[in-house]
Amino acid sequence: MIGPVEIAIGFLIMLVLMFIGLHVATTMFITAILGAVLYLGMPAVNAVGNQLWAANEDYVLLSIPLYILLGEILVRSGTTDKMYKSLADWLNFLPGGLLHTNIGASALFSAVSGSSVATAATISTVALPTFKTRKYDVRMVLGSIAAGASLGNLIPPGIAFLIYGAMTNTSAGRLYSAGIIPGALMTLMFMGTILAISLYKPELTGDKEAEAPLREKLGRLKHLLAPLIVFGVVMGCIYTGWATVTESAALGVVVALPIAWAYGQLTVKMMHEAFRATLRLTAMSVLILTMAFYLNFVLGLLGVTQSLASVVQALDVSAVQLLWVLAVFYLLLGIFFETLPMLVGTVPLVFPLITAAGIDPVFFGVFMVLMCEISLISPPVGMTLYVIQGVRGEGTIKEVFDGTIPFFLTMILMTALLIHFPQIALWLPNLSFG
Amino acid sequence: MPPNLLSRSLTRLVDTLVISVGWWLVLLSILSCIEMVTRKLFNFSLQGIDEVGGYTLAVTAAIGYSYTLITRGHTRIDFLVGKLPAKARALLNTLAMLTLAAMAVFCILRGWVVLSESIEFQSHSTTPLQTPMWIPQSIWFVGWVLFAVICIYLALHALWLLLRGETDALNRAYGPQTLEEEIESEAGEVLEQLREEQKHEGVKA
Repeated sequence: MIGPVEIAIGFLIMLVLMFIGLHVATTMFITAILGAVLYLGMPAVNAVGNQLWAANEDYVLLSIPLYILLGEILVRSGTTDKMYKSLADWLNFLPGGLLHTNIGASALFSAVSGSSVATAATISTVALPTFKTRKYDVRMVLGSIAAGASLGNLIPPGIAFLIYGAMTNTSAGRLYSAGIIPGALMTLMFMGTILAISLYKPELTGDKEAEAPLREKLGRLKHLLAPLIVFGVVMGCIYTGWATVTESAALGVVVALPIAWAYGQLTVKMMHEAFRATLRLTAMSVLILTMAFYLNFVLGLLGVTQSLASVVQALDVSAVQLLWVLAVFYLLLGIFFETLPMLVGTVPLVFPLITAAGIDPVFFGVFMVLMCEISLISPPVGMTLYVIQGVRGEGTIKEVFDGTIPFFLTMILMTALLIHFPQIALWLPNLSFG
Repeated sequence: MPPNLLSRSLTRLVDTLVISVGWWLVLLSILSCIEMVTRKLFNFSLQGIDEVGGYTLAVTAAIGYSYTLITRGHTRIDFLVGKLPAKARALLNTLAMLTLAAMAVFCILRGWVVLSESIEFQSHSTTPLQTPMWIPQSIWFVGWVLFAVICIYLALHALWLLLRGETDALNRAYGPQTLEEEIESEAGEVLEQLREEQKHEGVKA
């Protein structure tokens, strides 16, 4: 068993390798090999081959490419523009008007798309021209898009839950179930933030839309159906126990095809583009995940789990205290890191800590994904913010940062709620899975 | 990638493999749905979809590594690197490519052991399908070999550029993607489609 000091040094080495710009997968691989060579000898090094095969030959993980593919097909059906207009019909009456639509549309889009870059870029392209003539405060517009785009992983089916589940042997179905209420609550809290700001400072919001006739609104409603049908089918099958997570993903792909056809977009060219995007995103995640599995394997042999557990026992911290410490740790890390490296790079070390402190793994999955969401919009590095600025192509990045601050604070509030009321996450999975 | 015949051939080969895997994913999805329906309604199960699905992920990922490499998608933290002077960036970009190639080579050496043992001991899966393990493992292995070959090729090219002092070309080809490049590769076609539609509606209005 190796001590906490060696573990900390190992983690630091990995961070340094990441910061000098090596590929994240390589940094984990080097750290694992280093641990194996120094403390375990050749058998642990030679196990790489079997570990690689065992890590990748996994039916549950097949859900990753399938969910990504389903999203890519839907995104290419050309519904985003129409979906945005239809959402606007129903959210416009709220003080803050179109800003609410930014949250709703980003949430819907990011729930189906596996890429936060794609979400931020697409919603910005759809939304920004609409705001040109309507005199909204530009910071609010940008902030609301960023906030919405960060919701994707919390609202199932997201890839982050699958990766966390695979690394910690936690049921993906339970994690998806646990994400629903926090995801919905987060969406409502964002809208609440807009509402509060609009009531307090009405000058920040712009011109109201003219109310569209009901007939027109109902006619456009069908464009909201596509994402809702897919969401309903996929999640329905998981919750009722009809299908495994992978089977639901396969079903989602099959349901997405006629939707793309109905919008006249189901072409061979479109499918090939979707395949390329799917394999690209899948390989990005799975290469890192594979190396994280090997790192996990080495850490297991090194007795890291027990070592960290004894640290927690010696410190005698409560679950709530530990979660707050981790929240601060992740906020700091999130300044520099994106979702995937943050999730995969820290879970092998943090998971033993939280299990030793008696924290529910399903709950921690939700907490972890929320931390990843915050990292997406925390200045000065949050990827989403730069993508929005990139698409906008005018003004300064500072305006995006400023606009994000109220939503960033809302996410901190959500973190506090989640830590002190874990039932927000655990009530639904315990209800549906017992 | 350096602009030559080898790069073009590799790119075309990888692209063809990516498209084939894509269609296979669609087919497998359809088969899964048929299996679900027959299982629920007729109590009849097509054996082995899950097993084939497992192999599919291994193959999908192995083929995908090469495509992601060519399109410069493998994740790096560029926060610090981006702030360094060009010479230092060139050095670190080369180091990143060399270590990635070293990792890939080590993985295929150990992966070969897995495959050759399956062949030698004629391993079969302990499932109703009794799949001879060398079949899925060789496709998986070929994917890894392709990845390693492209890694070495690119790492050598980066090293060559570094030694010749072509810092800018090196950083352009092997640095982390710029923001514009990232947006383009993750949402390029979708954005194009959207702009097309917006233009179209502008004309109508």
